[in-house]
Amino acid sequence: MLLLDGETLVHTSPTSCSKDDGTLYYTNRRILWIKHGAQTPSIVIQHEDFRLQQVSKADAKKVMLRISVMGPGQAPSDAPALTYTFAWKNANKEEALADRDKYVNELYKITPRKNAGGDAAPTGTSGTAAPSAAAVPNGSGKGAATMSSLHPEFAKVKIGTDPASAEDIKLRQDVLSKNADLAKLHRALVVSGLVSEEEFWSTRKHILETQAVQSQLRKGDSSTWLDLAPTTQDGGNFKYTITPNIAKRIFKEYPQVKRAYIDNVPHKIGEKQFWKRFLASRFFNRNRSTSAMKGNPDSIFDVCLRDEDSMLGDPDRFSSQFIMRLLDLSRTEEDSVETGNMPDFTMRPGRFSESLSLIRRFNHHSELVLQSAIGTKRKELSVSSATVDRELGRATMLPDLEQPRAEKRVKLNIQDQSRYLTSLVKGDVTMRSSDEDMLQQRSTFSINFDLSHPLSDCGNTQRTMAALTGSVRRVAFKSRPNRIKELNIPPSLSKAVEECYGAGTEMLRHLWAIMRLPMTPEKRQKADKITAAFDNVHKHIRSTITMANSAESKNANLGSTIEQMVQPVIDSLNAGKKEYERRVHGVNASS
Amino acid sequence: MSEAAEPEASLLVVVLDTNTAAWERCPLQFDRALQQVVIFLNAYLALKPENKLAVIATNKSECRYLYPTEFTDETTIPEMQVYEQFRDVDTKVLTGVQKMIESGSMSSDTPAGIEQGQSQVSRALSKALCYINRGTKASVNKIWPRILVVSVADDAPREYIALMNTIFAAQKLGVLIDVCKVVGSDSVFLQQAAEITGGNYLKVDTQENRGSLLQSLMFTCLADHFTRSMLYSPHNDLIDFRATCFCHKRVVDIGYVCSVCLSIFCKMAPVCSTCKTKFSFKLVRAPSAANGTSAGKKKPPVN
Ligand SMILES: [Zn+2]
Ligand SMILES: [Zn+2]
Repeated sequence: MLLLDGETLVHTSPTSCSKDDGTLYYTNRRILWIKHGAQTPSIVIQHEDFRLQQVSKADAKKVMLRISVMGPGQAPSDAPALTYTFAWKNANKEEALADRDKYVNELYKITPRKNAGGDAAPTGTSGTAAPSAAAVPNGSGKGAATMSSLHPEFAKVKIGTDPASAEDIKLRQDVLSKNADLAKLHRALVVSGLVSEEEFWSTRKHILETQAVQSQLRKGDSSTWLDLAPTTQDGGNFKYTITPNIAKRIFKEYPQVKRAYIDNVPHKIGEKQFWKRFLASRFFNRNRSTSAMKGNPDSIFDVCLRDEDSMLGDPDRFSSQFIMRLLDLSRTEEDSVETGNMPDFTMRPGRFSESLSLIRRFNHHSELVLQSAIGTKRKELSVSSATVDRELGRATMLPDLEQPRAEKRVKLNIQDQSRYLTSLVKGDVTMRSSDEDMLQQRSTFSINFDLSHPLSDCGNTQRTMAALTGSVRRVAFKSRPNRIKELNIPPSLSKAVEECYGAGTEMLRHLWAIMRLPMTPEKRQKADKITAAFDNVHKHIRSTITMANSAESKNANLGSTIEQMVQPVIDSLNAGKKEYERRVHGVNASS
Repeated sequence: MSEAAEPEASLLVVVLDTNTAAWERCPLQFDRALQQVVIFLNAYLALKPENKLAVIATNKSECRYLYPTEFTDETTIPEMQVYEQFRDVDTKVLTGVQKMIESGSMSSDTPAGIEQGQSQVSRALSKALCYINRGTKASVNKIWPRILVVSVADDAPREYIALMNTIFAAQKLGVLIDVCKVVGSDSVFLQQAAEITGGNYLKVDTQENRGSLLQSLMFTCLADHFTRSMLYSPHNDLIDFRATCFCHKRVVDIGYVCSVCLSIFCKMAPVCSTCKTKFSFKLVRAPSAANGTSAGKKKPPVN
């Protein structure tokens, strides 16, 4: 390894990075990692670029160290763009941990602190607070593998002056992990270096935006009615399971139970006892129809029962002043007085006393669900009486009954109508014979209207029918739903054809995007790179065809079928390349 | 729309283009073509006794009913050897066409914007739709309407809006429009008519086939709604839906469309040369328009 002037080696450790084995070096100026057998380091981090370190937990399976560094051209305040993860090769975990701590301590010294705005804060050696490196995105053991396979790609984010932020990278990672096809394309194009990371995403901004929105959506509370269903056990006994989660929901639904819990557990009765009594109580079983299941009187929960009745049955629970008049059913009484309609007798509160408490509880539940959805907005509803009136006016106004207001219209002022209309006809207008020609022709036009003789000659029937049936055959072939299946293409081949299309389309997209704008030297360089990469696609196409020719299939013409299938890609690639070359030469000739 | 059933009858309105100037250019002589069309009409009537037929002829200056008789003052002498209805249709159509050509060669008053080689197809189609509307309403049993246009004339740009309106009306009424273009270049308008209404567009190459119109008509246009649901119909594989630019009449792959009048241009301009709408370039700025022309400034039309 070559050290720079004045550079001294501090630590070395055999580690692996991105599944490759190598050695990690720490010098007084740089952090280096050299792959086994390589002459030059594949990772070089200047101390100035180092931003943040993260370590795996002490009890994690592997001893790992993750280093986040600034990307080239990145401002110090930005989130670090590149991360490298090193795993210690030493099988002795104690030794490996001790060895890693040496690096951790060194790195701690060089961690930038001035702008420690939270995200750049150094993490302790124990790593308890830091997210463990092993538990990165996909979790469950696979995490480390996906991480190491994704990271070298992100290390390539070096184009332009605007490297992707950490959030962007996270988004991209999420999108790729969710979309297998896209990930495949990404691997085929970006990882193989055909298209740069930025270019790849530049045409897929909408996917990232959707992902960004989705990732920010928070799931609301479940709106389902809490229904404790017992499981039947051997011997006809019921068994209820109350998990902490269910307990939380019970507390939310019934604040009086929560109060009882706080008052009694654990100083008066144990938690288990509390729930047992809850499930046996009259309060819990109050809506069961069979009298045998009515539950036992219980000093704790009978209070709850009273509380509930008095709370839900309290007419003053809502101050009627703030009920929206549109929802206030008692307002309909006014209708019957003035118009002579029969008073509404369907809405009489408390008519069915046996179901009253259930109805109240349903309503209470709905209220809770609505509240959790509306949240704080609820307060805004009951503001000044002026706004209430305005809202009411808006809700009760029938637009159909209002005086129609004339819309402001601008007259479509077409200057040259004939130009407007003739443009709709395709074909060369000058081809049409002039009026004089027509007049001349008409003098010679004569018709024999005696059609009593049979039709002697009906043209070339063979030819007409051949053309017609040929056309029908083409239509029939196109509209047959499983014609692809009829071709008997092996899955591996159809996948290869798909890849040809994917790669070809992507590259052509970038090429045409570049060509649409005026050519600059950088653009030309990029376009040259892309057109050069066409050869790879052609190669892939050729190998696909070769594969088709040697493949075993019921389709005897598989080779030519596949050839036909990939021909459009070849044509498009050639057309793109030809056009690009034409433009480049055109530019050369004019300048 | 409900599915057609087998015993239900059809109502066919044939729009026959009798533009003499256009027929002159046709390799297939008009009288021979007419003979083949008449055979097709007879075949249609023979297919089902309940089938109804109307024939409308059009040329550059007018359009008239040739059949049925209630619109004409023709009377036919019964002939013993021929099936009465065939005889009736044949005579009406032939004499009607003859009269139309005779009167057409005398008068030369053509509506503005319609050239010699163009016919008033939209007028004929409107008439056909009116007839169909009345016919389907008057019929006790379900009757399935369709139109066959035997076209020879070029597209008349003046007619575009009227024609599109009739096409959409036909679509709404559930009327199929079959088109048989006998001479000249493909009719873009009628291609759309067939495409939109679900009918067939057929270009008959009368040159190549030495005038075999009848086979094409029988093969493509004879089947009723019910039969069509089971058949593949010959189709023009390549309908060109590309637009031409208004400024140079060039077919364009990528064009700029005025958001107000839907004019198509091959180049971006700050003002629509058709309707004089000024565009705001705050959001979109084409590289060619970027030098010098500021948004909202009036600029002379492109041509
Ligand atoms: Zn143009
Ligand atoms: Zn316009």
